[in-house]
Amino acid sequence: MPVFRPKIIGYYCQYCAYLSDDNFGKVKIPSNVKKCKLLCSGKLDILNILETFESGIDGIFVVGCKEDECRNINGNSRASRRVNYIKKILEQIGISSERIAVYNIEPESLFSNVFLEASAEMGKKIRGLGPIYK
Amino acid sequence: MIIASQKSVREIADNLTKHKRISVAGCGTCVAVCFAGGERESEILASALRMFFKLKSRKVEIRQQTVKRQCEWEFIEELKENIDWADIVVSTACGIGVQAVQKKYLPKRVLPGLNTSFMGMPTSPGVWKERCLGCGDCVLDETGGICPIARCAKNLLNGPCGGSQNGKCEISKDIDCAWQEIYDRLKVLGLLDSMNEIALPKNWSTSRDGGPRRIVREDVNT
Amino acid sequence: MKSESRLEKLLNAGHFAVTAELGPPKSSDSNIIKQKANILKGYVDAVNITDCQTAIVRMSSIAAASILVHLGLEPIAQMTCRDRNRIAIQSDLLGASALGVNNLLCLTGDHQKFGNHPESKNVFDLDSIQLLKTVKDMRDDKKFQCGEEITVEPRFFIGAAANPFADPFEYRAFRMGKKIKAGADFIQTQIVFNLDKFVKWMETVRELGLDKKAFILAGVAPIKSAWMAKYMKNKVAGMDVPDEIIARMEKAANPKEEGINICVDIINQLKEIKGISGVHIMAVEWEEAVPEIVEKSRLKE
Repeated sequence: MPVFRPKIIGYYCQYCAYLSDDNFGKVKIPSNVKKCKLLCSGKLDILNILETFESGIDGIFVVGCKEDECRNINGNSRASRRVNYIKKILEQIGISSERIAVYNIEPESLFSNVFLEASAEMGKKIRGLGPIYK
Repeated sequence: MIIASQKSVREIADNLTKHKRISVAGCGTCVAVCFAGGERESEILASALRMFFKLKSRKVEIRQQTVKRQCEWEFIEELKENIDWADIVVSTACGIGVQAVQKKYLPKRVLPGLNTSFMGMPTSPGVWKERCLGCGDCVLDETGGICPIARCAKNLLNGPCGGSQNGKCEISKDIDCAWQEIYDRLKVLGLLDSMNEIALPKNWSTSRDGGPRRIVREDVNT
Repeated sequence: MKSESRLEKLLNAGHFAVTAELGPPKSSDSNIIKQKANILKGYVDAVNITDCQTAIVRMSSIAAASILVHLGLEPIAQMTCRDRNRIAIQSDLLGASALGVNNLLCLTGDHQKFGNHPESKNVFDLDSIQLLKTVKDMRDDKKFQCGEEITVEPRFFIGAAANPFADPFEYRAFRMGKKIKAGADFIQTQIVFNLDKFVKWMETVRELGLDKKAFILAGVAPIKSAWMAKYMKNKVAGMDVPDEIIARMEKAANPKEEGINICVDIINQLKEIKGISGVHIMAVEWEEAVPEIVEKSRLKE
């Protein structure tokens, strides 16, 4: 049986990832994780995320600025609340809400590390859950 | 405006057991403004339903269309093509829209996608509160512009009951005591004396208790 | 006299009245009413029969009151606006009067959210003040609420509740005035724990001359435990339990006895307040405490 390689998209906020290209240069993001830059994690769109899942993506995570440090005041908390809404819908249709998660940059930590940790953690979680559509 | 909340996708999907073509019809008026059944929300529902059926390996086609209003025949007309195509329709309009679409497109079945809740307004982003019950005999002139019929849990007309505490209703700390609000408002308006007047039993016959209501206007009638 | 009520006679004669409360059972068992009535008999002047209090289904207050009439006790049937429209209310009033119930306490009623049928539909066709007026108009004008005449009118000694501890505080005495204007002959207040606030409220009541227009019975209750005191303070709407009372209950070696002592202390202080015509002891599911409270506070001498 072939090994299951989950298809994951990692959204990230351009501000906490400023100098992100440099940042990403220092770490090796797994090839099954696709990076996707947002102007702010608050730009996360519910319909867009659902359609992404619909298209067959197995897992999604969002990396946002640390709490209370959003350039747009509360874009990051908005992102969390939208993700909670999406989780609710996923549960209603029988998809594990674990397939989506928010990661906030902790004070003192480097963006690139958080993105990398999120990739690893989500990768492990989604491998456990299996493909979104059997 | 009319405020509604979304039914669980599961509850809607459980009614779509053997259908192959589903039309999701959004409404662009009240329920769009309260983010329950407008264009985006009906698209979200369509997407969620598609995933649901994909998980069950069922081949189901879903179309989505939103019209300006589902409570007027002229606008519902625009849904014709997609409804004729479908086996079943899910309307994310309020109960009025669902009934109108169902009547117009018989014998096709039309299911509600929302729970129509009340007449109200947003009081802060993401929070909607009830403001009017449509009792047909407005008393806002007596109560400083705050409706005790809609906003008091016991629709009292003669002041706060013994459960009013710290401005909150006895049934929940999340609900403001309407009569505390009325009291404060009448004070501002200099009309506090009216709190000592006995409000006589209300004529509920103009409300829903008098049976389904209708209004006829000869001047508008053709 | 407005009615055949013994309570009315006693109060008019200047007697300091004592009333208690009897909650009908959650069953058809009339023996429970008889047992509770036997405990109270001889100690109180009248007994309130609650009307599905806290919106929990119990035996009809009028049926239970009728049982009390047969036992020779004086019932005060409670009637709420929660479960009946004006048709059912007036019908029940005719029936209650025909069964020999002479006292009626008119209440809005607790919201059904707290009860055992939170999914039920409520009525609130009338509110307590409109109910008072309806009962008074039936008695004094021999008229139904719609204006039609009644040949044999129900004659009740009419009561209302007042909560001095609810908000807005400055309106509370006026609201009681409104109830008296609507038809209340007597008032039973919410349980008094906070005497300072009650005294302040009574000052306004006297300024408005309301103590001269209706008999005011102050509500009291024995507390069983410190937990119950805290529960009433925090969870029961419209209840004001000062921290001193909670502290007294916490310190007590025998909380039940201390609860009764606190109740007696409060009664003794209430007796000194001008304009108070009696006390209403609400020993919910603890009827046994009533005789002891009555004896210790020398209410029956």
